[in-house]
Amino acid sequence: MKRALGVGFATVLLSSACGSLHHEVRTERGETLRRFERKNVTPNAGVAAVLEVSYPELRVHFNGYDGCRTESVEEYPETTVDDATSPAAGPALATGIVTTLIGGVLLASRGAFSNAPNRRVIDETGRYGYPARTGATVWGVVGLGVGVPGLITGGVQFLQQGSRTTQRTKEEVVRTQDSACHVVPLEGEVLLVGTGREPPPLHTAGGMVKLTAAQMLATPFSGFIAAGRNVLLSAEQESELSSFEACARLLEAPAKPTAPLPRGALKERRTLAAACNRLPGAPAKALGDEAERLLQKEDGAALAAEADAPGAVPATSFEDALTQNPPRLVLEPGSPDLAKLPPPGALSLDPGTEADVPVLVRGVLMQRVEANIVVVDVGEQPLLMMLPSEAGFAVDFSVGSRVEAVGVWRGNQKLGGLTAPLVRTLWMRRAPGSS
Amino acid sequence: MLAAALQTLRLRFLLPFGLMGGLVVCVGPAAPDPDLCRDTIHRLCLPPVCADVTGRVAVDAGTCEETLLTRTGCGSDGFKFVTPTRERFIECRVPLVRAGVERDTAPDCNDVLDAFNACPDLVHFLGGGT
Repeated sequence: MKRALGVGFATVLLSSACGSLHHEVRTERGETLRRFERKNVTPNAGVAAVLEVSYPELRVHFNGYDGCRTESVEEYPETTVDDATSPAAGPALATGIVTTLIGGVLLASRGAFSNAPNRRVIDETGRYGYPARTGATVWGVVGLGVGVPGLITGGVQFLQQGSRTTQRTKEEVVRTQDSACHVVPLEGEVLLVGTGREPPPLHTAGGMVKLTAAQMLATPFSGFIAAGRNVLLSAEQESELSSFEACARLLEAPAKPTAPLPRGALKERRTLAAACNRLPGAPAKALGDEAERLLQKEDGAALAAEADAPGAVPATSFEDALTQNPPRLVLEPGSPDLAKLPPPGALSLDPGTEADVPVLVRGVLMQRVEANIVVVDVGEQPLLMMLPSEAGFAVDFSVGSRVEAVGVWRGNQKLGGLTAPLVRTLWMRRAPGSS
Repeated sequence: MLAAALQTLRLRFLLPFGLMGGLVVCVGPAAPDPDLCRDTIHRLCLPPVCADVTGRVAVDAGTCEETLLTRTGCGSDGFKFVTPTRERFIECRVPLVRAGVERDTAPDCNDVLDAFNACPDLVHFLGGGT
């Protein structure tokens, strides 16, 4: 029992001594001792696929691989400096020493004090005052009781003060490189992942499955699950699958109708062909070209109809056209009005949405796109000029001739591969002074 | 800082130790009846003697202590309390040591009045009338 009490008392004293210590810890990194590489292998990290397209066949090779991680590690010494201070250690130690000394002296010299009661005092209970020896004993015990704990507390804290330095070697991973390794062909069941109904599973042969465009058309798919694991496809592979699907939709669809396709269907066909033709061999080149040609033809017809639109008052001469339509913009090389034209990207498919702006054009006829559509370059800016089918002026300008024209700007127009401002020509003539 | 530490230590350790020490060992032996009686008479007769002492106990201030020692018999070393008993006497004496337990501490006259009012037997013991 006494031993337990003693241990408890000592523990309380020591813990109170440690508790008021103030620690300031600094960590310093030293020079790099060495650099080395550490390799880790994660088995069965994933499944990769290799696509091999030879339209209308798609071969997919499945490979299982381990994940190989290479870490570049730097080893360096780390020094930790722990500065421990205790502001209370000094006062506690000083107080402990003084009170312990006083208590000790009182106890040691208690025999020198009288043991007779203090007869100068009789208290309210009728008892004499305590003897001087008793007083010396009590205050000696009190002095020791106060001083010894203070002495121990202050002493422990005082001894614990100071700077302690520890050094150890640490590692830091400065670079990590992950790669697929131990690639082996994967055998097992393959599921096609798509948006439609789930087709029956396939089985690899030599780590490969063969798929056809007909299968893609029947059950479109955009990914695979091989041996129960998702197959990671790169963006390029996903694009390849999407092109394969475009080819399947374009080339494996039922026979083409004999009637001309509507414009929307033509555009879809052109889009599908463009996607399909990203595959090796451009399987839908002929279909794509045909769709493009038909669309251009439709565009040309629409523009011609626009040029002959009712409501245009026929002019009888260049000057008459100028008088009827005083130009708000003069489009000629170096003209500041050229900057007022919208950029080619601001395509307006409906010219009626733009205000009809009368313009005077001076440039060089560069190309005849259709019988009634020419391209006139004004400096670096090409203009699409619509010529009326029954013009009161000669329209047989040769390519390369300098012309000037009065017309109405109708916004931007896309024709074939060219997007340019469209001008409905009211009158065109050779530029004065040109041969 | 030292004063603050001492103050802290005093509050933490000194007070409990002092109280404990005082309660357990800081009293002397019981005073014998003659000493207890003489101490009380000495306090009552310390100058200036209160009017209640000279009036109710009917003593002269100059010869107060000798007169009362004679009347009560406390001057004899063989004195023993009978009436009042020792316990009653101690109880009646309490107001007389309020000002201090030191032998030469004169009691306050109000405390003397309190003691006499509460203990007519004390007044009678001292030779006064009830």
